[in-house]
Amino acid sequence: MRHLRVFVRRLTGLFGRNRRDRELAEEIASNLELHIADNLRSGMSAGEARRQAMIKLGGVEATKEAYRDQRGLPVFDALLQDIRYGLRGLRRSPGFAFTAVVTLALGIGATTAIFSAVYALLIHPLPYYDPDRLVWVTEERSGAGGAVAEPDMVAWRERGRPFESVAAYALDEYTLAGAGDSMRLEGALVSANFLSLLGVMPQIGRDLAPADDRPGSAAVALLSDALWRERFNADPRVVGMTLNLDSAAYTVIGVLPPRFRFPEMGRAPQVLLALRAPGSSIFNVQAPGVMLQVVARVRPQDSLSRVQEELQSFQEARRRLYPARLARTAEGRMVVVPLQRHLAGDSRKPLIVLLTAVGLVLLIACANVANLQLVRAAARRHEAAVRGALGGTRMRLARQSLTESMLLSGIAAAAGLAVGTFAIDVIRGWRSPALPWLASAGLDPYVFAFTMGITIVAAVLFGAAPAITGSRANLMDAMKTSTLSGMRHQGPLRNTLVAGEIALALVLLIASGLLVRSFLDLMRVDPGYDPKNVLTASIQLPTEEFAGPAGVSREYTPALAFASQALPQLKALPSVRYAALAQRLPVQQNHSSLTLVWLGPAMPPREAWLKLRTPLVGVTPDFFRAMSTPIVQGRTFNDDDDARSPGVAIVNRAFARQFFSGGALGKQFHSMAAELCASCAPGKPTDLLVVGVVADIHQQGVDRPAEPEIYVPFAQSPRGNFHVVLTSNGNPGALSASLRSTIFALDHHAPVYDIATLEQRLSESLAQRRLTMFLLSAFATLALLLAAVGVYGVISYTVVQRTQEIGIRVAMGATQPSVLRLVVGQQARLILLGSAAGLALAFALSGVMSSLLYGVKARDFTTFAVSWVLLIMVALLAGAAPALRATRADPCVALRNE
Amino acid sequence: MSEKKDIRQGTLALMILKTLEAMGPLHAYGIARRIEQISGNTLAVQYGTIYPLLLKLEQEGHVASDWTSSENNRRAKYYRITRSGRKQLEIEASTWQETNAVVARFLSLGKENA
Repeated sequence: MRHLRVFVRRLTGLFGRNRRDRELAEEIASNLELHIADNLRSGMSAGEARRQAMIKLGGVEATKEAYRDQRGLPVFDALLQDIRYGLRGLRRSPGFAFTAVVTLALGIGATTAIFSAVYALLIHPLPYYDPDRLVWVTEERSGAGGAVAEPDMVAWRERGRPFESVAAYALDEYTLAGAGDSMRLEGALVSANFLSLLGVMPQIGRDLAPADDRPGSAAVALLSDALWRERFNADPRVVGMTLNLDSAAYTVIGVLPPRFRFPEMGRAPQVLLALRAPGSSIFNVQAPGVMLQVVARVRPQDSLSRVQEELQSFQEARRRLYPARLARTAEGRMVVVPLQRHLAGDSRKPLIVLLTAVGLVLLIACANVANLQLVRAAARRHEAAVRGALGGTRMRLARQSLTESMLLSGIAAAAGLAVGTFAIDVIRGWRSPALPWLASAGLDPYVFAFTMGITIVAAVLFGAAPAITGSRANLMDAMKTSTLSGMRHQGPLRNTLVAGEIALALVLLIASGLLVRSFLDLMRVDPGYDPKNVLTASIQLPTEEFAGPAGVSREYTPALAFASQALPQLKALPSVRYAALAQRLPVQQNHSSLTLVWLGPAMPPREAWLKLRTPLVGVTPDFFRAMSTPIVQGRTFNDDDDARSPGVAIVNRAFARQFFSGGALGKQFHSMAAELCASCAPGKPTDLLVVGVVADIHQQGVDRPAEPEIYVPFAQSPRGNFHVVLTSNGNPGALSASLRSTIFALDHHAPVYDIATLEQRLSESLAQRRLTMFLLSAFATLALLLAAVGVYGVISYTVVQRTQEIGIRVAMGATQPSVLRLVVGQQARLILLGSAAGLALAFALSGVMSSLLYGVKARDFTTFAVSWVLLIMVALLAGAAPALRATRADPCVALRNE
Repeated sequence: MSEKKDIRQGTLALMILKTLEAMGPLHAYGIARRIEQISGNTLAVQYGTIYPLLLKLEQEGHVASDWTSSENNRRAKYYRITRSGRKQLEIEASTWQETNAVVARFLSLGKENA
């Protein structure tokens, strides 16, 4: 109780200090007068009376100090005083304060932004039940993408090993018909236990049940929250309604929760349908195989490597029991990866590189601030000594120094928060369908606290070290020597810090140089087409028109009819130069299929099929003109290549190289490619005559090699699902509305979807590379700048420190060049040492980068050399100003400096 | 001066309280003066040291202060003992006496053995 009262009184004593000081002075004065009056009365002279009274009173200032300490809370009071003093000090040396704050703010901000992105993608737990035990399973085969055959999946499930439970899905697209426009949906077939394995419950309705999963059971569907809101106005009565998907009726049984995330990067299926696969572990040779993606849950005690090993050996044993016709030649390797890693996809590697980079930047920032603090502490040694002489305790001086560091860090943290928010906005502003996780990146408060903590620890550590040595400084030494010639013993530490900064900056510079070179190389790659002024879209013709068991001939009619009607109309649109249909377009989802190609008379054995499977692309005659793809040899298709004429094909150069070692024109090959021609029938192999050879189109992106391809006339191999290509004279984006309305007028059940210019798509396909390159270059620039600041700081400090020495040298006859040599010599040692370490480090770390590069080696000599020269130039430039200042040293001033 | 004894703060506080109790309201100089006189000028009180101590006692609520006019119409700050101050004085006085008695007994130990 009493302590509380004392505390409150002392707390209030912190305020109104001036009034209270005045009151004390008044009290002392009045008492002194009383004392003097007493002394006078006892017969002293006026002067003696005052003198005696003063002696009796003792030191007035000490009294006031003690009184103040008693009045307020000395610790708190001192803190306020320190803060005031610190702020004054920072104001007095704005250069130091500004550099330190900017350095720290950039370091903290950039690190926080990248850490946050990494956290969102790689660390933040997935929104599933016990997500750490979820894995993604695939069978890696050379060539073909990873997928698992349904009987294999069932076998693992039945065995109960090595997984606790196994679920499967297969992505697909559907046309939703009914009220409103027909709409193309992303969808997925999933096994009945798919949601329960993930630990997700529908928000309304029910989950899939095993009964829904059997072949022949009633067709049911789950809606995504987005589709439910968009198409059904979030009406809960949707459960039980019938959905028309691809002309089949599905009963809606539930709606997925709003925050459900499908376990596939960048995919958000709007409907989930029951798989309804055979569900047998025995291969049915007659039925077509179902290929699936597999997610599984491992048991808590099983390690990933053990699961993978067990699965591998189980599969190897199992393959021996496959029916002979299915025995695969290229044995796939089983791959089990944590679901989180699978979901991070291609973004994982670049992010880890960026994370390393930004960590280095933070390190440089810390070294810089430490250096600044050291220089500052050295400059203030004199002050510390004087304050020590005037009675400041060592604790008090150290505390003062610490307060200043904290103050600096505090200001920097606030600025860092602003920088981080901005950086996150910039990164998010990249908004790209190729990098969907960007949207979820947000400034993470924990991450911010973490990076701030690191920098503050660095600042305090380096602020405190000089504070302690400073306060221990021998008073006499410090007072005797000049302000700056002391503290030479800190030289090595400072030099090491700067050399380290140079090394790290060089590593970043080299890394970003490699990425920039890769990107420039990529820009130079001829994609095999001209993306300018090209608009593309997908169209799905209604499948009901293809229905029927004997639909073979009927299947093609609508597609052919559509093409013959749509193309002239599209071409007649204003500003359209070419209009074409194609089953495959670069950097987008393809609607083409693979076909078997062989040259000899007999169909090759199954073992060889893998190598002979070739993408088959049906195109209309204007396709190559629309894409500006050069015809290397022969002719393009024309309207006479139709169902009544002989089967023809155009192949790309990669195909010509692989199958005909170049000279393909006029040759024939066998395939099942064409279904409608003078000599062909569906399902039977035909001879196709190569009438042309075209340039290679890099279908999967310019950074991937072009694969062998066959083009056939659309009229000889029609499909209901294809792309439209429109080449315009002006802005192709302006065509999308008229494209939509033209197609809608032709067939309002045919959804037009995925409309974008080819340029957009191409640019998106490089979004990740561009973002990585941009960020890494930004970090490298930052690092270079910070290292330059570091060099500048150290050199200018050394110059000031050696002013006297230089002055004496000049007085003794040293010329300007020799002085310059002296300063630059020190600088050069520093830079050479640092950059040598940097080169070695970059060389050692080059393996990390190699997977992100295109066309350049990770140890590219040019990049290393150019980066090195650039660094040396910047570092020399940073030291140039202080070095020149040194040469202009006036010996008189320098000597008076003492 | 050198033979005069310094006094510890706690003891000085006790003396201040006792002085105020015995003499009624006094200003700081008066208190210091009184303490010196009562000690027979054997204690050296730096008058300055008394101010922080008075502030402490005031914060603890043992004394209260007012600015009033003194004998020859001079304004001065007068301190007086409060009720809690009297209680505190009682407690500290008895503690002091007990300690004194115990210390005295110890100091007489050697004499008996001799």
